[in-house]
Amino acid sequence: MNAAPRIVEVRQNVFKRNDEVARALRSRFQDARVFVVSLVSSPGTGKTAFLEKTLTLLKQQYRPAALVGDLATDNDATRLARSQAPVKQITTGTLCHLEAAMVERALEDWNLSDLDFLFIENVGNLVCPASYDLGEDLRLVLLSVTEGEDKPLKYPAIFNGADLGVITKIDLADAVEFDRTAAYRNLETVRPGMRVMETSSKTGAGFEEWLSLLKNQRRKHGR
Amino acid sequence: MSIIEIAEEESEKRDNAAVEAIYLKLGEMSGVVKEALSSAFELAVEQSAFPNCRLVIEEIPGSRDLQVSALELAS
Repeated sequence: MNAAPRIVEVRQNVFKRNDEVARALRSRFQDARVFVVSLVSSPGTGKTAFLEKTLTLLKQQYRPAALVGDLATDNDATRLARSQAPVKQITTGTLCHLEAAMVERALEDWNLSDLDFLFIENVGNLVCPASYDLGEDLRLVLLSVTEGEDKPLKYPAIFNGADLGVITKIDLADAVEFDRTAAYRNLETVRPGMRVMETSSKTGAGFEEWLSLLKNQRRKHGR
Repeated sequence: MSIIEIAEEESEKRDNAAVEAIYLKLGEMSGVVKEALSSAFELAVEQSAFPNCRLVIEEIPGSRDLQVSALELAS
């Protein structure tokens, strides 16, 4: 008997597997005519407040729903449920990002054709979520005025992979001496041409523009 | 996490041989940080079928990929 360990070649691409699941999801979303938006940011940027406001406003006219990724708690889902939209928590445990397979599992008992919009709030993290496609139509990256204008330069991959930048907590801009010019310059450096919006979930500033962009994008995608 | 899932599936294909090490090729441009991955792996592997499995990471300059290149199986 040979007691030495065996080495076997596998050569399996970790992202490719995720991409396959994401591709299947994307085609399901298309068939069900639901427009899917994902949100990434660092912890504390205000993803949940932004999403709660969005769901509440959309609810007047559409059928929105949300999936929320979180390491341990269901606090975010509880907050979002106040909007009266269907919300489901994905607890990732030790994992710092969502993967397409987790989204697929979470959607098992939902009828996608009953929805117009689906939002996927990723785990608060600017590193890990960058490499994982979730089948979304639009990926938002949020940056709050309180966290420093150089975040895009520090985490280029996540900003580069996003379709739209949202600057949150704009009502605090003056108080924290937010350098708007530097923030836009840094975003432009890592993601040339990216559209950027400024919002405040507290005052509602910027939400009119955001909702009209959402509706236009949904139409553009034929949903 | 999918790295462990890949290892578990490969192990099942080979009479559930215990996986002693996972060899990973980590592209420098993949957006994955080695330290973050290592600590997530340590936590996740404890709940897997082979809690003592090691992760051996080889960094590949200029690559965007993340690949499970090989497994070390107990014989």
